[in-house]
Amino acid sequence: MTVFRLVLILLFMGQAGSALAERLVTDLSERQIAITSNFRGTTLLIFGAVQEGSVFEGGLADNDIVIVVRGPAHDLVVRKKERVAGIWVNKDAVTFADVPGYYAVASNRPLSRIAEPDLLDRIGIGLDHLSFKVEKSDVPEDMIPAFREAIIRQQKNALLFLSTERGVTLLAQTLFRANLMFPANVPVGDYRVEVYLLKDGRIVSAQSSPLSINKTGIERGLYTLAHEASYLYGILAVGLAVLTGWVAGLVFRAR
Amino acid sequence: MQIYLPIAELSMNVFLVLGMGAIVGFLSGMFGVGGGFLITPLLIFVNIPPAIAVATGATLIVGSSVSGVLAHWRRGTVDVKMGTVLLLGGIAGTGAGVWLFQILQGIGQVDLMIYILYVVFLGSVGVLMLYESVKAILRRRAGRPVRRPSRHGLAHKLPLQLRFRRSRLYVSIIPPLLIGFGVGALAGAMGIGGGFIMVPAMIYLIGMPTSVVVGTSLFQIIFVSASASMLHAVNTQAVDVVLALMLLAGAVVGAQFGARMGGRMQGEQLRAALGLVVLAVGVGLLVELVARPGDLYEITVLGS
Repeated sequence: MTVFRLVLILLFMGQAGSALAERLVTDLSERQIAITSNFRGTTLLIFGAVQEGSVFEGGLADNDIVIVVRGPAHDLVVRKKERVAGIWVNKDAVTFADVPGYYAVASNRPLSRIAEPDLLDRIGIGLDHLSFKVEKSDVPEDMIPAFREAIIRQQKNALLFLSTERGVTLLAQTLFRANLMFPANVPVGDYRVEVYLLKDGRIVSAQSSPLSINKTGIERGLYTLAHEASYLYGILAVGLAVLTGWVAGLVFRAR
Repeated sequence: MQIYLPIAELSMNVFLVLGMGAIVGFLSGMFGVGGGFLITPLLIFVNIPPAIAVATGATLIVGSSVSGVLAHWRRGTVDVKMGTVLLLGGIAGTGAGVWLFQILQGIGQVDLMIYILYVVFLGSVGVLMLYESVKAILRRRAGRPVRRPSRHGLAHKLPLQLRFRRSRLYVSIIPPLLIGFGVGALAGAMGIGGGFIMVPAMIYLIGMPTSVVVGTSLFQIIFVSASASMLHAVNTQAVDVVLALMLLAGAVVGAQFGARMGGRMQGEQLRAALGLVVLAVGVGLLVELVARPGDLYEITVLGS
């Protein structure tokens, strides 16, 4: 998937020369976001510069910067509720493959003015241009878009899908920065931060950097224990509950 | 102050969690039930995923029942023999409940099942308790003696009879086994200890004296909910130990106030109040089931 996307990016970068990667210098304020017990979401600063030589081929057109952050992908089932005998019941289901658990896009001006929909569709830039592969479906083809939109709507409400059309600040056509928000319920895993430099509706440079969001300390330990030593975890949980109840019973008797 | 819940994978306000624990503890101290019927809907209401609400609820009940049973143990109002019989049925029932839960989780109907079970049980138990207690209150007002439930039910006619000294009964073990099984299945599927069903069943179906019912019910609920917790921990990995312990911290404090408040009220008034709470939760859930949902689509993550 990622390799496929990189090939696409290279194809769309057009005839620009071989030193493309050097045109864009980017960095993140953090490469690793640690989820600790008081984690309540965070913001990530993405910044960089467009290097001198890249104002090329006449230099008339302005630079556009688009930043895309994609979270770890999972398969999702979307079920539609229908009224059966007065009760709302889950009926038709559509399974989508590899839907990112987090997706944010930021640009210096509206995406529709930066590039043609065709290009945005192919690389998956913008919430309207994300396509998810349908793995299994109970409904006819023409009803699938409604299920796809449900994912985007609900993820947007949960602040897990974000789109900020003026989220990138571009200074003097060379320096850029953007703040992206990660809510407290952000999924853990490996993320990719993609930065695109566009000119005249074409991608002239692109950079991709990894970002990892993970639990640390006791949170990580508990999660790992629950999934990898679930018997031990169960005994621990029940044991702690019994102990707490027992101690409380003794403490309050003393009064 | 927020705290991150490692299994639920979201962060919650500490005081909200402690407060919910305290409310549940207050009711359980007052009425002698585990409080599971309340905590699972409360957790779902504050956006904890249903599977985690159910599994974590079971773990909470382990702790709150241990704390409750200690007081009854000291008063000698725990019938261990009857508790063990109920338990044998209960363990088998829990397995069936967790199994059912997993099947429904697979076909995406687990929320619906939890809702329907809740509405049916909370609604019927609430109505029955209200009816019975209001009648008793009216009878007391009219100056007539309060009639005790019949001591010659089905349990006296079936085979396999045993003597239960604490309960002053000589009855068949078949009804307690079945009741234990049914309550265990509910515990596994709904994340409740089943106290609010077990208590009326022991009084009206087995004919146990009210004084030993609550302690005995709590005694067996410890084991049923402990095994439900274990089964959930192993099969669904949905027990959030941080959430459970924080709820428990609130619950044990709330329980003390509840017990004091309960001590000042008459039995019928207590039963009427519990009936009202149970019924209110049931009606609230029914409304959610029938009302048009805000979003018709529901998303479940399958894993990578």
